[in-house]
Amino acid sequence: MLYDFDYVEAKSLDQASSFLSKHKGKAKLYAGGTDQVVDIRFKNQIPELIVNINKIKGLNYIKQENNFLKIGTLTNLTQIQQSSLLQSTFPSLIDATVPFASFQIRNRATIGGNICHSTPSADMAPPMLVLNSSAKVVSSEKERNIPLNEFFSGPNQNNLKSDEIVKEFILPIPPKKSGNSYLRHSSRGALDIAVAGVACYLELDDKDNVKDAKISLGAVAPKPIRALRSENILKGKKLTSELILKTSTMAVSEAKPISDVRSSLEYRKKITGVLVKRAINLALERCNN
Amino acid sequence: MLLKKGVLNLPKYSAVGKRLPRKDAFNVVTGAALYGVDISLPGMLYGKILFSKIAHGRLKKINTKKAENLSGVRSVITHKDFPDVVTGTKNDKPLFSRNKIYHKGDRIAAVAADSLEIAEKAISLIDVEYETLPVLLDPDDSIKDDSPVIHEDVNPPEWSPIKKNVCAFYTIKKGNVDEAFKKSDIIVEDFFETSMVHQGYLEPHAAVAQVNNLDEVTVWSSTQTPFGLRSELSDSLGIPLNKIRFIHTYTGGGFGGKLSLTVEPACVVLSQKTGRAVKITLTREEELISTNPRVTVKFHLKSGLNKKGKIIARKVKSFVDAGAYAGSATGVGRMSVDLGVGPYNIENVDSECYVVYTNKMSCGAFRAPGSPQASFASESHTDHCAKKVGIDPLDFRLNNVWVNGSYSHTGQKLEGIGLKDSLEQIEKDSDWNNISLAKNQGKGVAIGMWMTAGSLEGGAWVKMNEDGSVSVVTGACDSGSGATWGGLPMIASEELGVPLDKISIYIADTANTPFDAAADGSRTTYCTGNAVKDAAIQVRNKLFESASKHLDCNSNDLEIYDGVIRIKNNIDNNVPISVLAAESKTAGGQFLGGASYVFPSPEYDESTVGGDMTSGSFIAPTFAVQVAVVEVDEETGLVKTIRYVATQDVGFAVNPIGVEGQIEGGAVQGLGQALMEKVVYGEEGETLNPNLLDYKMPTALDVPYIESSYVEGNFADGPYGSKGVGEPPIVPPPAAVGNAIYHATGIRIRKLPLDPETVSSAFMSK
Amino acid sequence: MKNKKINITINGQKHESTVSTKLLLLDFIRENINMTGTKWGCLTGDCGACTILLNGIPVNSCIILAVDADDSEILTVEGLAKDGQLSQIQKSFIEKGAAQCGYCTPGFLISSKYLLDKKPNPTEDEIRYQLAGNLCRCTGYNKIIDAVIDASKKRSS
Repeated sequence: MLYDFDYVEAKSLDQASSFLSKHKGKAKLYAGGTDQVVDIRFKNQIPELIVNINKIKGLNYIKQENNFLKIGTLTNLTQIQQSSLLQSTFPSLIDATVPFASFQIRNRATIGGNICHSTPSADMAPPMLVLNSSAKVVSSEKERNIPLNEFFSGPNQNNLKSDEIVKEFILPIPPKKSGNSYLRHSSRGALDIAVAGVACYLELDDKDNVKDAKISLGAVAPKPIRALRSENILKGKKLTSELILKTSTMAVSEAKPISDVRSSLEYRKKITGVLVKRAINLALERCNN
Repeated sequence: MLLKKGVLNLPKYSAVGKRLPRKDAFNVVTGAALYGVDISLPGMLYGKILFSKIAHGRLKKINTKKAENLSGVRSVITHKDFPDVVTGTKNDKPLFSRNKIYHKGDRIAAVAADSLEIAEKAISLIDVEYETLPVLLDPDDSIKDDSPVIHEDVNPPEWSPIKKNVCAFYTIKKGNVDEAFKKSDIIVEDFFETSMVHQGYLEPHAAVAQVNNLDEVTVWSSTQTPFGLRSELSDSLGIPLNKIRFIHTYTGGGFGGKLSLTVEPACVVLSQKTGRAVKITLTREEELISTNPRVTVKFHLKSGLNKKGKIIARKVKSFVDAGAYAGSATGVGRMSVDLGVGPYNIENVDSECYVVYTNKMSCGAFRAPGSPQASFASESHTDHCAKKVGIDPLDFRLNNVWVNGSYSHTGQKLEGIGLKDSLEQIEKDSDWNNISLAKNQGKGVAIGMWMTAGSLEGGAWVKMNEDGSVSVVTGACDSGSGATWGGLPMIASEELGVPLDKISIYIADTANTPFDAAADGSRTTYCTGNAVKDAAIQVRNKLFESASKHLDCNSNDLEIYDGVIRIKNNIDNNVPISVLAAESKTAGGQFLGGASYVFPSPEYDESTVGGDMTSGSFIAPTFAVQVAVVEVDEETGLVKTIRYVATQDVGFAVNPIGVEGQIEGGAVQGLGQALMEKVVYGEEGETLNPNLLDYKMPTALDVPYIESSYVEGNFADGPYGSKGVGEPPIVPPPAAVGNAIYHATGIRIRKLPLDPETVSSAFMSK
Repeated sequence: MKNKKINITINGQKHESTVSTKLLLLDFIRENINMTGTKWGCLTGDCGACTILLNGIPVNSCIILAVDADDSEILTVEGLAKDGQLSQIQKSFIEKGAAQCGYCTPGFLISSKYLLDKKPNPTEDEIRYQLAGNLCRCTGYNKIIDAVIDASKKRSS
């Protein structure tokens, strides 16, 4: 048994939002629960009220609508891993699920939960940042879109208002000559948290110069970040190993990691550089396929 | 893949040596087996322990009033409810803290309540006042002159050159190392350090105690030693032995970590106070804060070699970080001083070991206590020696290792030594000389030594039911090896000619099974197996006597085969065992056999040992030899074990599936210690990774398929020539992997675990 | 609400119960229904000892609220044998010696059954990946893999 909280099941997002609104920031949504339940056990932020949104229909999908891919907030990570739609255009999202915890956890963990729990090491975050995705956010009052690049604000903190719920993620379908990747480092092959994670998006022009580059770093700053100065090194240039090395060195300086029981600050920086190099190469390889 | 080097003239056995399933397997795969955590009794209360909030200091005041007044709380206890007794190898450990606090795992109070939730709430309501003292986390700091004394009531050994916070000191010396170093062609020096690692049994500690009206107590516990814990409970709570019934439940792993009292005393006292059954289970967090793991040992080694690659002298100085209590650290010290030298013929040896207190979890027994640490140091060092001389590491070992007739460092004459055979076997199994290696790949070999705890008593009864079926009854228990559930019935079947499905085994209840020391020391097959064998032979002899009357012949003319007793050269002349068993009801009585086994320790040269050494020899020494092939990612430091080959000198494999299981499982548990496991402490003596996310044990993705084999023929005194099997395989992996990393990269890493950050730092500092 | 009436089918048997909304699914199975075959080792989803099938999918029952499993079907280790006959995966575990202390075995049996139902002939790599969320401290995984492969061969024949 866990510590004291009240419980309610929402029949709709609207209803869920009003529960959240009534409890002014002291209520939490419950979907997969893989982070939530552990937090409660260790008395981290015990909510007054848990709002179960698993019964709400129509929030679990991966579909293409015109030039956009839409992923419902309750889509779990196994579904993401097995999606052939994502495999062809958004492999970085699948990359993020492969080393993620375990099959048992992936069957419950949702993309909405991973993004909204907003840990600095959230594996789904860096790919979402480089893929220019946005979150469609609803409350009983209104609806709005938040670009993922404006979503995170700190460790376990984001810019959702206390009554807002992410309904779906919207990702523009990338052009043909582009590739995206996500790599992370941890000691074990499973059941482990990333010491550092890097996502990369590359788009090439007809001459194979970099038309657009996006790099995102996870677990090495208070929130998942974009390595903007690193991206600028790549833009407009032809990719050579010297350029990639220079970019990775810049990325190391943009990382602002801490030391904790999982890793020292210095090692996180080192790994960031290594992963940036490798993620760029993998994205490049995928550009050419 | 199983390769077996057989001795060509091994007898043909009917049951032992065969691949047969275990007796408990059905219960386990159906979920019917009841483990400690599963036990539930009517009216049972749930208990919880309050552990210390400080790592070093004094207990000033405990106020339990608020906890006692919480609705649903039935009892709250502190040290006042226990006799004023200290326990442990150095009499340094109270059950519940009275005055001094030694680490954050010290028990301050305990509650029993109607539900676990109420018990947890009650714990949070107990007010404790502490006075803090500086926290010592490293033996290097503990021994400093200006450090506080952790155990004010324990005198350091008078023969120890270092006194401060030292609880034991061991020496082994022979020859003259200083002279020998002068004569050596090559000198090699090294320093190595291991990490604190936890047994990681999947089932946490769990016990239920029930006191009845006559002040007798029954305890069910997930344990490796019902008799050992009964004895400890009797000593510490003052309850006579015959008033304690200790029952071993199915036990979800132990590896040495379930050999001493943890939750049981609180369960018993709470049950005495409330008159109801009380159950306490530890959470995973509490396991990594308050139990008894494998502790860190630091080794300084220096060897003198001649040009031909002979080790002429070895000097070793080691420091065992005992933690808050001496516990099993005294045993680890005794092993460090000896095994830290390595299983090699060396004429001049000077080895010293200090066992030092710190304010962390205290040393417990963990699969070959002291040996993995000693092997990491001495096998990495020996590899370094081989490199310096320019000889292949496997050949270097073959030229120096003990053989039959060699003398150990303490002057014990060694027999039945399968070390050379095992080295040759691993050479074959791994195809050592032809292992193809890509860039950043390397191979490493290491030896692990352990022995069989034959001096710990094992007992068994064998009784024949009236239909000819058999019950084996023994105090031996099983924390997973299958030595009881698998091996013992096979031995009874072998000696009685009764098929395995007609044999049942009942284990580990102090009320109605004969004494057996513990599921530890790799001793169950060795000692209890011999007891079962003897007891079965007694029954067999009684069967022969009865049959000889039927068949009108001498007992000597008879043999036992597949459920009948028959005349050897006239097998049609036979009588079924079931007939004899049925008859025994009216004439002669039940066919019963019983035996107890204790082995004496071999002789050794007492002049070689000093300090706290009280024993100097090993029963049935045995050797695991393993090869690791690794790939090192130089950029990240990640080491991938792409191949792992393990063999072992087992004498005779009574239960082959069980033997393989021990070798494979031990190797993987050792790979965890080699590559990823460490308990990390913060400055205040708090465990920083008290959970299974950050205390990293290998998953199926982290290890390869272990290629295992075993070597038979170097017999010891276990049944059919067997030796202890369970512990040796955990010993070699840290050194095997370390040596392979060196081979791949030229970098020698001196600190465990060889996790990516450690390996990466070693690259950076080159 | 602090309590809720729930209906959960376990191994084909319906159970109706009013439970606290704080109750974990693991505790519902072990304490309320007294089926102790499903074990626990960490209570944080890091060891897999508590693995069950929830509506046919392997999950860690230690981090799911019981009320969230209302109107669900659960399979635990006790439900693997049918009419007194062990399932093939159970038989293979026995034959290959894949259980030592046996504490992780219920979780592994559930995860393996799911794997073999979906992928009748998995490779060793696929088995390791699929079962990576189940920790074993005793066997080193060798004989568990042997058992899964053995079961995959015998199931198809």
